[in-house]
Parts: sequence; structure tokens; C-alpha cells
Amino acid sequence: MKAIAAGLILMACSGMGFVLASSYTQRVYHLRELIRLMQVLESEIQFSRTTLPTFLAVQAPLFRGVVGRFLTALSQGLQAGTGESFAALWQQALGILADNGLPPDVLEDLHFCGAALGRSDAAEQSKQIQQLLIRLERALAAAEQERDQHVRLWQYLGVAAGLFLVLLLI
Amino acid sequence: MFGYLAPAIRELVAGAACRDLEEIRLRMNRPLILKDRSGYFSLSLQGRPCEPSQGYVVTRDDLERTVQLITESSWYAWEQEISGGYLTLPGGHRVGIAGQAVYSGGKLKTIRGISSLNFRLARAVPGAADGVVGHVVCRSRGQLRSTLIVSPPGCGKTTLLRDLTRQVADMGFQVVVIDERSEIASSYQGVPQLDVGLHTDVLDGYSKELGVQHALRALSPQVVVTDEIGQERDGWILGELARSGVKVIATCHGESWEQVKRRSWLTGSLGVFELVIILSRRLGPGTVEGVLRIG
Repeated sequence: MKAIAAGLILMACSGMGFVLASSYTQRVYHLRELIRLMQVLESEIQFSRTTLPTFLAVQAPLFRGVVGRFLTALSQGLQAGTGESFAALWQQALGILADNGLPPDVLEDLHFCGAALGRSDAAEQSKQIQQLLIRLERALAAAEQERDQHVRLWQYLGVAAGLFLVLLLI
Repeated sequence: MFGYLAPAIRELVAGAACRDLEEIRLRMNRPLILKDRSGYFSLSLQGRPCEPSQGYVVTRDDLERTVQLITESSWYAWEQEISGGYLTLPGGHRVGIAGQAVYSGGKLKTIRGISSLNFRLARAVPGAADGVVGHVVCRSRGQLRSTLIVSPPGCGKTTLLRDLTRQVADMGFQVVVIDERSEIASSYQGVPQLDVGLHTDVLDGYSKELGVQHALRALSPQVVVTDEIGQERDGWILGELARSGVKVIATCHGESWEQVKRRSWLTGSLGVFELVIILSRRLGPGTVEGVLRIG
């Protein structure tokens, strides 16, 4: 019985450590997806003048996880046909990204870009997206550094905490 | 087309079940105006036809939502059209835009502060050219005569041109339409929304010069169709087509052939046209006043 209890405690604490560590990995993944998204959007605007509803309808199924849900929410908002401004729909959909650990400064950059999307000519759109991409690349570099520093730490801390509790309770 | 109107206006117009609607005009802070065969009228809050003084007043929000819908929230996708003062919707319907002009490098770059929109419902008239196609095409010899359609504004020359294009193309002639203002084929994202015939290529939004060069180099036309010739440069275009052995069907503004043939741009190109069709509104738009053989 004691062995089972010890095993459960160890698993639980290790699990918590891994979950905390994975948030750093997820942040890096989300930022990479956002960078890919904005690069594709810029290409579509520059070379094909693809409208935002068409772009979102095609791209939303190609992105998984949080970014995919963000794009789907945006696409559905546009398809509703209410004439709601794209900026307002973008801001509503950003809530999905905010609930999934993206840092506040990245959300702010996304907010400003969203307010400009679809409102000017292609050259200006490209400028706005380029500025966002620079900021996202910086955020990605910082997130990768944090991941490298903290992932192992939280994993080891989780296991160590579990062992400590087991020893304490024995 | 109603799906491109702001929800409040869409509900009113769809609910009114107007027949033969020709125009829907949205002007900020002024009554909604519709036009059908009987003339202009407004709609009350209950959706019933009424005098403009009692009509639904278009709000800023209505206009902004309508702009979002007609541009698909993607202003950049319609730069060229907007600088021309219009957009074309699926189905060939045209939305005229009025607002504040923004210039760059001496050219109109875009329109901002949109204050009114005019939806013109597209309507092709199959058979509009039935009375003249026999003059344009000699079926027994399989030959087509280069034709100039002359009329004052609002007399149906573009409608006639469109149906003539359709009939000529359906006979098997390879036709290229240089649709500078997207009025002939009413293309949406490059795809013609109105029937311009089986054997027709449409160069949508091309200038006439570039369109002619492109057509002659790449599309092997037997006939080139274009609207609204009347500039000096058009003489060069007609010359190029004649030298290449390509027939032309075109329109121009004028009250009569006598008036048109005195214009300097045409003097050097008189030999290009073999047939002139004169239109008026005497018995309604599209009234054929005369068909003249000149070549």
C-alpha cells in the first residue's frame, strides 16, 4: 500500500512539473504558428490580393490547436454577414489566444496589427505585417531561451518534490 | 445581392419584396432610396414604400457595415476598383462609391470617408441585339463587319454591345472583350458575371492599349470588343487592330454619325469601321434609329 501511495505521489508531482514545463514549449509552438500564419497572409495579400474571409476559410483548417481555433472563430465571425468590423472580430478572437498563455506584449502587438488589417492598400498591409513579424520573432527568441532555461528545471523540480514528499511521509 | 447590405437595411429591402429593382442608394444621414421602373421611392421603418421624407434614414453604422461587406473587410483587394469609384459584386451588380478623394502622385489613389453608396442591379437583356446582328454578321459568308455603336448616354449602348458580343461569340467567332470599366462582362474577381458568349475572353480592368497588345500577342482574336472609345489614343488602337486583320465592335458617345465623324481621333480611323448603329431613347433605351454601311 505504501509503495502504491508513494508511486502515486511521485507521479502526481512529476506530472505537475511536466505540465508547468510544457507551457514554455507550447508558447514557442504558438509563436511559431503565428509567425507562419502572418507570413502566409502577407504572401496572399501581396501576390494574390486574397480577401480575408477567403484566406481564413482556407487556412483555419490547416492550423491546429489554439491558433487554429483563433482562425476558426475569426472566419465564423466574418461569415455571419453582420458587417462587424474586422478589427472588432479580431479583438474578440484574441481572447482565445489570451486564455492560452500568450504573453501580454504579444497580444498587444496582435491587437494593433488586427486593427490595421484590411483597412489600407497592399503595400501598407505588408508594412504592418512586417512590423508584427519582427516583434513575433523577438518574442519567439525570448520564449525559446526561457524554454531552454526552465523546461528541465521544472521537470526535475517535479520529480524532486515528489521524492521529497515520499521521503517525508515515509 | 442583399447579403451585401447592412443587416438593418437588408431586412427592410428583402421584406419589401420590390420587383424590378434597379438601384438602392445609401446616403449617410439621409433616407434610403430605391429605384424601380416607376421611379424613386423610400421605405418606412415597417418596410413599406413611402416618400423619402418618411423613409428609413441610413446611419453611419449602416454605411460602415455595408462597406465591410462589399469589400469583404479587405480594402487592399479592391484598390484598383475603388480608385475607379466602384466595386463589382457577384452577379455583376455594381456599387458606386462617393466620398473624399485621396490623391498620390497626381492620381486618385483611393476614396476615404465614404458618404454614399449606389447599388445598381445588373440586368442583361438577351435578345437586345436581335435587330442588328444580321447587319453586323453576314452569315452566308461567315464575315463580321467592324461596327461602331453611337448613342447619347443612357440609351442602352452597353446593353446592346453585351448582347451583340454574346451572339457573335456563340456563332463561333473568337472574341476578346477589353472591359476597361468592367461594365460589359461585369466581372467579379476576373470571372464574367454576365453572359458574353461561349468563345469570349475577357480582359477585365485592362486599359485599351494594354488590352489590345495582350489580345494580339496571346489570345488570337477574330473580334475585339470595347466600350466608350473617344480619346485620341483610340485612333492608334483601331489602327493596330486593323493592321492585324482583327474586327472591332465598339461604342462611343454621340447624338449622330455626322457629329461623331468630325472628331479628330476618328478622322484617321474612318476606314476601320464598316457599319455604324445609331441609338436613342425615343421608344425607350435601345431604340435603333439607323444602321449605316460606311465601308
